[in-house]
Amino acid sequence: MGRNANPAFKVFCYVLVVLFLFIYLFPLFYIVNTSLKTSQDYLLHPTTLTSTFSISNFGVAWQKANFGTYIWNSVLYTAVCTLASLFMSVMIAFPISRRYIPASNFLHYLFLCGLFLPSGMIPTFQLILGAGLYNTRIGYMLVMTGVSATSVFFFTGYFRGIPRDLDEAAAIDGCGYLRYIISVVIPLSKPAIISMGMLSMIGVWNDIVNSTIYLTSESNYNITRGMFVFQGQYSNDWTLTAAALLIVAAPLILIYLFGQRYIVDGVMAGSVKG
Amino acid sequence: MSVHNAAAPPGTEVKKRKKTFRLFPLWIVLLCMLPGILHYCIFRLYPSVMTAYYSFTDISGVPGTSWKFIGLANYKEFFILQNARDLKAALFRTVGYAFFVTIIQNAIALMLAVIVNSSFLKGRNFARGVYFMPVILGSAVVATIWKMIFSTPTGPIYLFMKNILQIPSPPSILSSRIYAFPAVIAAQIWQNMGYSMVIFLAALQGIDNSLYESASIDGASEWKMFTKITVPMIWSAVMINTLLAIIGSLQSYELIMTITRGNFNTSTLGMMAFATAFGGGGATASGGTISGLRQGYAAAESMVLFIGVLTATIVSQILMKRAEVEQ
Amino acid sequence: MRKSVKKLISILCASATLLALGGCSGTTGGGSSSSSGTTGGSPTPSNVTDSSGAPSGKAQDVNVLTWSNEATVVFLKGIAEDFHNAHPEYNLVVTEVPSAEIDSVIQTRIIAGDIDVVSFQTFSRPQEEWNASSVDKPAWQDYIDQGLLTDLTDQAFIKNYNLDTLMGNAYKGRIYSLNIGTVGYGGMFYNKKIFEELNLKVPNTWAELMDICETVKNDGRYAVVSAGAGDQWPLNIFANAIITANYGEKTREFGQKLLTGELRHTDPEVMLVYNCMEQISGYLEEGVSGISYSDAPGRFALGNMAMYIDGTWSWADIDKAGPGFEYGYFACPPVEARSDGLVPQDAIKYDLSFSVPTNAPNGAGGLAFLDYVSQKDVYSKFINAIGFTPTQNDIQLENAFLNSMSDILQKPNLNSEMLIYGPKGVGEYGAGQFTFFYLKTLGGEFDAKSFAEAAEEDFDTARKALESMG
Repeated sequence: MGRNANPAFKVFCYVLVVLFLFIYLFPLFYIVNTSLKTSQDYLLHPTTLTSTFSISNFGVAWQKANFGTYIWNSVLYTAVCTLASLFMSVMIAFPISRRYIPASNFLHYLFLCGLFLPSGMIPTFQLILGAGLYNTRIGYMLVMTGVSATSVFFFTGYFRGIPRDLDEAAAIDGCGYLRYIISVVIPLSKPAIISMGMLSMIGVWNDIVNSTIYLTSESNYNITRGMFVFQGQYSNDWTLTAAALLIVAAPLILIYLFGQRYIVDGVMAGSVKG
Repeated sequence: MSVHNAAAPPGTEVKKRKKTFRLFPLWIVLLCMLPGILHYCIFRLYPSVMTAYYSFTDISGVPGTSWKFIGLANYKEFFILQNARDLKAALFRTVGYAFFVTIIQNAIALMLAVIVNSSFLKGRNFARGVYFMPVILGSAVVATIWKMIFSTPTGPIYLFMKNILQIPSPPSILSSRIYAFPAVIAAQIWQNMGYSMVIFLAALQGIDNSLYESASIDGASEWKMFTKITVPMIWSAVMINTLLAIIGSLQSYELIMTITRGNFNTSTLGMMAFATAFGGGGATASGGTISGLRQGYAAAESMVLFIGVLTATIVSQILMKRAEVEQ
Repeated sequence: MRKSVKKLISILCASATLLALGGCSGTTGGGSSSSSGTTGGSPTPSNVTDSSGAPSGKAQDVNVLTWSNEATVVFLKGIAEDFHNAHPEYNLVVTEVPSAEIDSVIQTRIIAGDIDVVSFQTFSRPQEEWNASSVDKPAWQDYIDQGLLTDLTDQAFIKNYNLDTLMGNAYKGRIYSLNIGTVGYGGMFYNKKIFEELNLKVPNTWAELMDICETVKNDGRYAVVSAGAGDQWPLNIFANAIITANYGEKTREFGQKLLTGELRHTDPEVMLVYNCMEQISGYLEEGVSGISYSDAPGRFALGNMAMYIDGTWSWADIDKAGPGFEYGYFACPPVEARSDGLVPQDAIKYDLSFSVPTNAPNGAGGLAFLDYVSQKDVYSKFINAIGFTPTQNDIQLENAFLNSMSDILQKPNLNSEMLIYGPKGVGEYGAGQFTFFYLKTLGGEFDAKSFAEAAEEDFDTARKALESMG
């Protein structure tokens, strides 16, 4: 809709945009505000602006929730699972999109099935148990990694947009397959990689279900699990909870703030081509 | 991005296919695929297939204990033994959850996408970034945020109802059998709307601007342009968003689990299956727990959910196809 | 685009076929997997002794799992060093999880054979011969039946305890969990200052309780009675307390008759409960359904509430929130005064009981831990720290409040919460077992009579469905 839309419509648009900005920013603002209050202040005046700026909540939450250990677990899990998932997805989607292998259609459908199939929580649990990987980092990461239907779907679509001539040129030059993928295909699909990578990161970083089931030693906890246990202990202290919440959310929010354009554009680009 | 892109290109490709096999050695291509395929078979296909199988057994989940094939008993228990009124309510909630999430989330997403896509709007990148933000946060954080917002008696919503709307004794939203469920739906929409919006945005940017220009020369209203140009042009995005929202919301239980744990009439099929498998409230249609280790029964619940997802997807796709033809 | 529907359907069909195939291949493979399952056999307690041969050099961990309860966790972490000194071959590792998750975590960790000591509460509502067709086994019974919990009956440390009390939580005459203490939760705290001011006395009958409520209400300055009802159970256990108060030792029979249908919800014996619920609900603080349990003791300690429904264990939270605040506790009074002349007796449950799984990686260490906490001096410190009623004899309680409870704990009964069953598949009005929230006075849909009728209908429907299943 062009610049010369009628003024009433413009006003309507602005009103809506601001309304939704409020709906989206208010909860975040409220959490930040709460996290900066003292417990006393919050109980007496829960909704006023903080006057105390008690940054100490963050220190207390960090220490009591033992985030110092958990955050490194989370970083490890997120990095490994994201990279492994991306690698496997690309390696599967590329030959399928090019039909370099027999039965690529069948494979494509097989992976799309993943969207509908019943979740196999119980057999997966038995599997990890049987393999002796219960309460191990490896076992947890195996569960959290995966070739999702959406990523195969996005990547195959995206790869079709990369000219086939490049493959041929590379093959004629004697460039190895793996090297070709890593040095040509992946850089050319940056937006799709970023968007899928981001989705995977979000999933692993924020996981609470599998970490509850598979991780039992505190030394293996991820940060979200740590936050939940902390909440169980301090359930009546909202200011500490808010601080813990922000600590958990901060890394992804920071990545998002700096890479916002990349991430949203990546999702958009991925979805157009896909 | 549309489902049909996943299709095999028309038959002309067939001749080419033979040649392309030889571009890279087949064995190395397959070798690279192997980790992904193996992982997928072991951690996705095998568990799903076993879930189907377990649903006909009385397996307890304790290693080394005996279990046997019990036919349809788990399904019978699910459909016949549970209180019909509550079962109906729980299934209705599951469908309602998916329905409202799908409709409202996509309606808001489409509306905001169109607005944020307008060139006159200042700060539209900022708005776009803000709307997408909750996608980054994930269920655990989103659930805690909303628990705080809805908390009684210090939460802002409660205080708003009490002090501004002057409601004498405002309901406590998250422990109300009436309001808790809509609140969870709202949280789900809040979390995922941005993602749908971005998919719509992508589709919108693919529309040739000249279409709008010529329409506006003809004196078409904004609404008319929206229904006659925008919607048909982005129909594939509408379809994919609907599909993702339906499947996602039917299967999702993280928010329900983290906000209400299935209490206060908020349990859906996904939550029931999870609670039956791993303990806790919200495992039955009536909001109770399933005592004991009943993994076979939990598997049956997963299968009922799977059949539901399948049906909902097929029906929605057929309906949307029909809507497209009629346009 | 036209193709995509076909495509989609073909994908869906493909996944359906895949599953169907799975089902088929599964059935054929089923025989073998189930037979291999049986031969696997259940782990025997001998595993425990097997692992006792601890490597001499490095201390082995003893992993203890409990739910978040500050007093328990702080105490257990505090004794870790002493425990290690007493048993140099072991290290005590305490893991706490939020109460809401404890059942899930116990289940996964017991199944995985990954935990040495787990915490339970009362082992209640077992599946027995008379109810085998109408209820499921509870998880704890499943664990025991499948040989997953160590039989503690013959352990030496059991002798330190009052055997009668422990046997109340036994299964088939054997003890599978070492109960550290019981708690009363069939009554309410009261504010001594308000009671004094309005010239009120602790009630011995239900009518007296209603008089108290009426007096406080008419005075108008204070909230009459409240609870942390946002979490549902804190108020609902009071409904169960009404049953226990009125039926005492006959509560078990009451629960059995209710399940079999010999007793109907609409019969006068049960209507009494619904009527009492309706009466007390009229005096509950406005907005009670929104008060979260974690905030509730603190609100009582503010001093402007006459009575507060909760378990006795909350004394610590009340003390913490309002130092110097004076309060007492009385049990829910029966409609007719007790014939034995005792004051109304509290309803109790077994809180915090430790079990050692048979498949524990360090079962011997787990038993050593139980033995350690059973020593009189350690036990005495433990019980004083958590403030429960002791299950060992002759324990000196330091806390004045707990000591004041001895009157109402002379002949306590198990709270009916643990003795009342709902048949499998019962609808929500029956499943919630006397849930206050269905009452009109609390925003629900029923008065006492229609509530009883709805519950009876749900019970009836469930019984019929069970019959039709065979």
